[in-house]
Amino acid sequence: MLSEGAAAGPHESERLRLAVEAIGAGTWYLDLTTGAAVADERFAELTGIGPGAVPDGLQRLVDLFFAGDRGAFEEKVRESADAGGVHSMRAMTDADGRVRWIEGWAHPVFQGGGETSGPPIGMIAVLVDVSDRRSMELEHSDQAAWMPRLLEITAALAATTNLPDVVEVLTKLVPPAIGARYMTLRLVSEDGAFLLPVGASALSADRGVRLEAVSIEGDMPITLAVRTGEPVFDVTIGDIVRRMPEFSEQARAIGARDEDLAVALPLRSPQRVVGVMALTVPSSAPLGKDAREFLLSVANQAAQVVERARAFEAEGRARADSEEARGRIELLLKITGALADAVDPADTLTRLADLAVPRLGDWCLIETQEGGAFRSVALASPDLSASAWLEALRSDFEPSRAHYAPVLSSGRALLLEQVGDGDLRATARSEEHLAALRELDPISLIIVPLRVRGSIFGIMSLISSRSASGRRFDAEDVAFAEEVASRGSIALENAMLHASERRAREDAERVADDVLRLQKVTAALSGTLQRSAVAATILDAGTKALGSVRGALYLAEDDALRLLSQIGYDEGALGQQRVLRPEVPNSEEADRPSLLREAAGRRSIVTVRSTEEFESEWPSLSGSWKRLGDQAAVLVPLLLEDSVLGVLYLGFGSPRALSEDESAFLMTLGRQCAQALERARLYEDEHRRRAAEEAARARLEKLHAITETALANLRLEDGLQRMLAIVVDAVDADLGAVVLYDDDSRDFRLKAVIDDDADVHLAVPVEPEGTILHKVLDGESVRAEGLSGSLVPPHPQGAVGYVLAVPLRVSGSVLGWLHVGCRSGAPREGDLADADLVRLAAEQIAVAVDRARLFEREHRIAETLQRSLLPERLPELPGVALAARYLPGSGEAQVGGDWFEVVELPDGRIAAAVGDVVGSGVRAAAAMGQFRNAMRALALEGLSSSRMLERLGDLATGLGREFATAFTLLLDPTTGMIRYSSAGHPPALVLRVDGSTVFLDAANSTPLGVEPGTAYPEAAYPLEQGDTLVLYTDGLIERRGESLDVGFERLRSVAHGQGDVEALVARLIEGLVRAGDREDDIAVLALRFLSRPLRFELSLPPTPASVAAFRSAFTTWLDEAGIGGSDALDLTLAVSEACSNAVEHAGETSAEVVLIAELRADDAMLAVRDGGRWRPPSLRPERGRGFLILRQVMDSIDVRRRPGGTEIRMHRRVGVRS
Amino acid sequence: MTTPEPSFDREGPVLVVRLRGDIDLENADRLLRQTLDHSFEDGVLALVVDLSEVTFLDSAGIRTLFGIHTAMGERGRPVGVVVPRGAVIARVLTITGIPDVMVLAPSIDEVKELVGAAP
Repeated sequence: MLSEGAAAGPHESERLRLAVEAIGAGTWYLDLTTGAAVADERFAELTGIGPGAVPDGLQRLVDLFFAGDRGAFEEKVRESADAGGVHSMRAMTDADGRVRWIEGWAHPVFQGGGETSGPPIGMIAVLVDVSDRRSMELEHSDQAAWMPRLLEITAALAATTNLPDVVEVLTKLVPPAIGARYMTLRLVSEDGAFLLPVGASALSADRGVRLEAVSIEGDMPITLAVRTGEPVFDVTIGDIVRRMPEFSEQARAIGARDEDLAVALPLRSPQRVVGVMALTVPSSAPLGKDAREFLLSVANQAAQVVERARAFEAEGRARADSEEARGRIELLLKITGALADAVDPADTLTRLADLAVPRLGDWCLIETQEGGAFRSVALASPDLSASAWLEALRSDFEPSRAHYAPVLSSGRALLLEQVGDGDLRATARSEEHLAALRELDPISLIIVPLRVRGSIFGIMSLISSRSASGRRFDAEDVAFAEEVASRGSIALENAMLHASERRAREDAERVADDVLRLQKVTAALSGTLQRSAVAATILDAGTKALGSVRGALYLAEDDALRLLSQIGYDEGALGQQRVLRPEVPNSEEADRPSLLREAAGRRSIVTVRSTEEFESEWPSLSGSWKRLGDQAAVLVPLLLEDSVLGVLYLGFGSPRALSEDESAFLMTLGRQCAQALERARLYEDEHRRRAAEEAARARLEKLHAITETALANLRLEDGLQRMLAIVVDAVDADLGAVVLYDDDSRDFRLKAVIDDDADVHLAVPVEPEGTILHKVLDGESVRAEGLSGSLVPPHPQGAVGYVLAVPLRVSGSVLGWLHVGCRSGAPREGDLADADLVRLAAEQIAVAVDRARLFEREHRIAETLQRSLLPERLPELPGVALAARYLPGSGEAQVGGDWFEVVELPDGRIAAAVGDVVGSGVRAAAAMGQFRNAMRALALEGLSSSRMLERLGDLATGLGREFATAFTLLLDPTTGMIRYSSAGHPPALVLRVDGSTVFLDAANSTPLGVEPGTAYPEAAYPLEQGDTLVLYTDGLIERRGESLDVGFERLRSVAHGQGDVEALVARLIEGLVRAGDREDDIAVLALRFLSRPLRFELSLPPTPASVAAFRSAFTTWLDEAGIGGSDALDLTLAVSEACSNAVEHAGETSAEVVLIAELRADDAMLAVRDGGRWRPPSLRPERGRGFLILRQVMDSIDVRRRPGGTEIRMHRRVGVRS
Repeated sequence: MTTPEPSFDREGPVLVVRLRGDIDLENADRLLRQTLDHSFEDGVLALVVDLSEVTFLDSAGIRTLFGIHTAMGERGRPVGVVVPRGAVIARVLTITGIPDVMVLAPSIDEVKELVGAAP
C-alpha cells in the first residue's frame, strides 16, 4: 500500500505548480503541512516573496495583503472553515517607485478537493495588478466578480488527486458559477475513438439521464470541440436536435430548450485533447466575455487537472500495482531463490510452505499423493501451538475428501472465500479433528494443486485464520497462490530432477565404476584358464569393489561346496570354520544350516549385515562365526544359467549392508566368475583329456619302441639294456634293472641295469631273498615306497626310495623280474605310478627274453652244425689261390644254408661250387651239409658242372623239395678254362687281370628242386693268369628294398682293386656287409688262377740233425729255382728256425716233420708241419728269438693247429728269379 | 753232414774260440758247453769268439753266444766277438740284438783291444 505521507512531497509540489500556472496571475501556494511554498515570478515581483520555502511567507503575505482580515485569514488557515476565501485590495509601491493597485485573493485548500472536512492542508493566494486595467477601463467589477469563483475552483481542483474528485469539483462548482442548467464531463477514450462520460451535474442524475459513449466522429459540439480543440459557444440545442434527432430525447431529459445554448469546451493538455466539458446555458443568461474567459480558464485548469489526476491515478495504480507486484515478485524471487538451491524434494516442500506464510496465508499445508493416498509433508504456521491440529492433519487423507476432488479432477485451484462450519464438518474425520479445525478458526481457504510434468502430485492448502490475519482471499490471491505453487512445483521438479539426476549421476558413476571394474575383471578373466587364477581374480575384484577385508571362493562339486581359494583368512581359521567348510551330504553335518548352502540354494545373494543378525539368524553357528572373525558377510552364488557353480564369500571387518547396485554388481561378478570357472573347467577337462590322450599315445609309442627293440636282431643283453632304458625313460624313473634266472648257473643274474651309482657286476648272482623283491618271484607285482635304507639289488643301500617291480613271466613261469624306481621316497608326478605301462613292458621283455633264449639255443646248434659242415680250411691247390669266408646271419638263429666247396680232382682239375639252401636254422644247416657233401662226391665222380646240378636237384627233391640254388664250375689249371652252370644262383664275377669285370651268367637255370629232372646248361670261360673268380651267395649283394642290379654294381666296384685273394675277400665283406643289418648268411669264395707253382716238399724225422738236412735240400731247390742272395739266405734261415721249432716241440709224438715250399710268381711260401701240439712261445727270451727271426725274415706267418699237429705257414715276397 | 770242430787257443789271458761251419740246433748246446769248459782254464781273463769261419747261424747259435756272454759276465770276464765284414751271419746277429750287448769287431786284434785284453 502506498504510504500517503511518504509520497506527498513531490506530488503536492507538482499539483501546486499546476494550480499556480493555471490561474495566470501572481500566484503563491503554501503547503500548511510542510511549510513549503511555491510562488511564480509575477507573485515574487509583486510581493518580493520568491519561490521556494519562505519561512515567514505566510506572515508576510498576511502583513502585506490581509492585515485587515488577519483574524478571518488565520481562522481560515487553522480551521475547517467554510469554503470561501479572503479578498482585499492594496496600493503598493513597486521596485520602480510606482504605485500599483494590487487585488488579492486567498483561499484555503482542503483535503479531497470538494469535501471540506478537517483543517486545510494549504493556502493559495492570487494577486492581480489591477492598476493598468483601471486605466484600460476594464470592467473591474466583472473581473473581480469572476475571480473568487475561479479561485475557489482552482483551490478545489488543486486539492484533487483523482478523477472522481475532479469531476465532482467541476460538476458541482462550474454550473452555478455561470448559471448553466446542465453540465457533463467526457474524456477521450484510450483508443481516441469515443468520448466517455465520466460525470454530470446533479441535474442529470435527477432526471435519469443515461450517459453513453459518443463516437468522436459525430457532429455534436462536444465532438467538434474535441476534434478541433476549439470551444463551441454559439450552437443552440435546437440546432443540435435538428442535426441529430436522436439527441432530442436527451435534450428533453436534461430540460434543455431549443433556444438554449450548448457550450463545449475542449480539455486541452499541452500534448492533446483529453476530454470535453459540455454545458447548456439558458438563453436567458447568455455568456459574456468574462464568463467565456472564466470557462476557458476552468477548462484549461480542468484539462490539466484531469490529465494530472489521470496520470496520478495511473501512477498510483501503477505504484500500487508495482508495490504489490514487487511484494509478490519479492516473494516469488524469494521462493525461487530459496527453492533454487533446494536439491531435496522434501526440503523443497518445507521451504515452500515456510515462504507462503504469512504473505499468502496464515497456514500452509502441503500434502503429497502417493499411491492414491495423501500424506502431509510440510506445514508452516505462525503458531507452533497448533501442533495438535498439525498432528491431526498429518494423518492420511482420502483423495475424495471434500474440496480436494474438484481440484484433483480439474487441476485448477479452488477458492473458498468464506469457510463455514459446514466446510469444517465436511473436512473433519473425527470430533477431535473437528475441534482442532474449529480452534484454527479458518475464514478463507485456497487449495492449489502442485503439478509436476502435467500430473498432480500434491496439494497446497493456504488458510487464513480469524485469529491471525483475518484476511479473506480473492481471485488475485488464488492467481498468486497458483503462481507460487507453480514456482514451488518447478522447484520441486527441479529438486526431484536434481535428486534423480544426482541419483542417476551417482548411479552412472557407480555403474561406470562397476562396469570398469567388471571390464577389468572380464579382461583379467579372459586370460585365465585355470580355476585357481579365476578365483584369485574374482576374490581380488570382489573384495576391492566392496572394500571387504577377506574372501573365499567355493566350488560346487559332487553336491558339496569345496574351498577353492581364499584371501585374507588365516588358513587355520578358515579350515576350522564350519560355516565355510565344505558340507558333505549324508554326513551328520548335512542337515546343519549353512550360509553357503543357503546362498547356493536361493540362487541369490545372502547377506549377514552384522554379527547380531548372524547370531539371531544362525544361532547354532555362532561359535564358528566368531572364529571366523567377520563382522558382516556377503555370499554370492556363482550362477551359470540355472546351475550354481559355487559361492563367493566376502567378509567385512565391520557391519555392512549392501546397496542394490552393489548387489547387481556382485551378481554380475558372480555370473562372470561362473562363466570363467566353467570355461576354466572345460579347458582343464580338455587339457586333461589331451594330456591323457597324449600320455596314452606316448605309452603306445614307448611300448612300440620296446616291441621294436624286442624284435630287433640284437644280442639279448644289448636288447635288454635298450628296453630297460626305454622303460626307465618312459616312466621317468631314476633307475631300473632286469634280473633273469640263469639256467646254467642256477641263480639270478643281473642282465641290464640303469643306475650310475650301482656297483654292477653282471657276473655276480643277485640274491632276491631278504629284499622286497623276492615276492616278485611268486608272480606278484611289488610296489614299495619309503624304502630309504632298504636294499634293492643291485642298487646301493639307501639309493632307492620307491620301487615298482614286475615279474617277467612267460607261460606261467617266472624268468626273472624288471624293476624301476626313484631315489626319493615317492614316485614323482608322471608315469612311474603307471604300473600298467611297466607291466606291459615287462610282458614284452619277458617274451623277448624267452624268444631270444630259444633262438640262441637253436642258433648255437645250427652254427655249430654249419661250422662243422663247412670246409675247415681250403685245400692248398697248385695253380690257384683260394680264399673263402662264411658269415652267419646276425639274428638270433640266422644260421642259414649257405655253403661252398673246392675239390681237387685226381686229374688235376679243380671243382668249385657255392650254394644256398633256402631257410635258416638247424634244418637249413643240415640240408646245406648234405648238398656240400653230395657236390664233393659228384665232383670226384668226374661229373660236369651241369650234371652236378642235375644230381643236386635230385637231392633237393629227395630231401623233400628243399629249395636251393647253386653255382658249380670246373677249372683246368693247365689252361685256365672253366666250365660252369648255375641253378638260380647269382652269377660268379670274374675280376680280370686287366681291371675289367665279367659276370658269368651264360648258363642260368631254375633253382634246384623246383622241377625234377631239370637239365642245366653249361658255359665256358677262359681265365687268364691273374684273373680272379668270385663266387658268392645272395646275402653278399642283396639289401632289402633294393634292386639286385644295384647289388651287382656295388659288388663290381668293391671287388675292384689290388691284393691277394684273402685281402679281396676281406674287402668284399667290409665293403658290402653292413654290421647289424645282415639278415641272411653269406658265403664268399675267391679263386685266383695262377701258373702252376714250383714246389718243394720234404719229410724228415723230428731230430735235430734233420734241421741241417732240411736246410741243405731246400738251399739246393732254391738254387735250382733261381732264388739267391738275401732271399735265399732269409728263406733258409726261416726253414731252419721253423724246422728247429718243429723238431724241438713236436717231440716224440710226431712221426715226421714236413717242409713244403712253393714259389709262385713273386711269392715264396714255406709250410712246416709236425704231429705235435703247438705250444705257445716260451716266455724266456732266448726261446722267443726263433719267432723274432721269423718275423724279421718272412712277410707273414700263420700258425694253425690241426687235428694231427701244428702247421706254420709263411710267405715272403721274393725278387724276380734270375 | 759234418760240422768242423771248434778250436780254443790261449793268447795270454785271452781265450780265443774259433767256431766253424753251421751252428744250429744240432750243435749249439755242445759248443756252449765246450767253450765254457775252456773258459775255466787258469789265467783266462777275457774271451774272444771268432765267427769268421761260421757259414750258418740261427737262433740256436745266438743262444750259444748269449750263454757264453752271460757266464763270462758273471765272472767279470769280457767277451768279444769277431765278425768279418760282409759275413752272411751278420744279419741274424743284428736281428737278435747281439751288437747291443757284446763287443763286435772285424778282427781278433780289434776285439782284443776293445775288451782291454791287448798287450
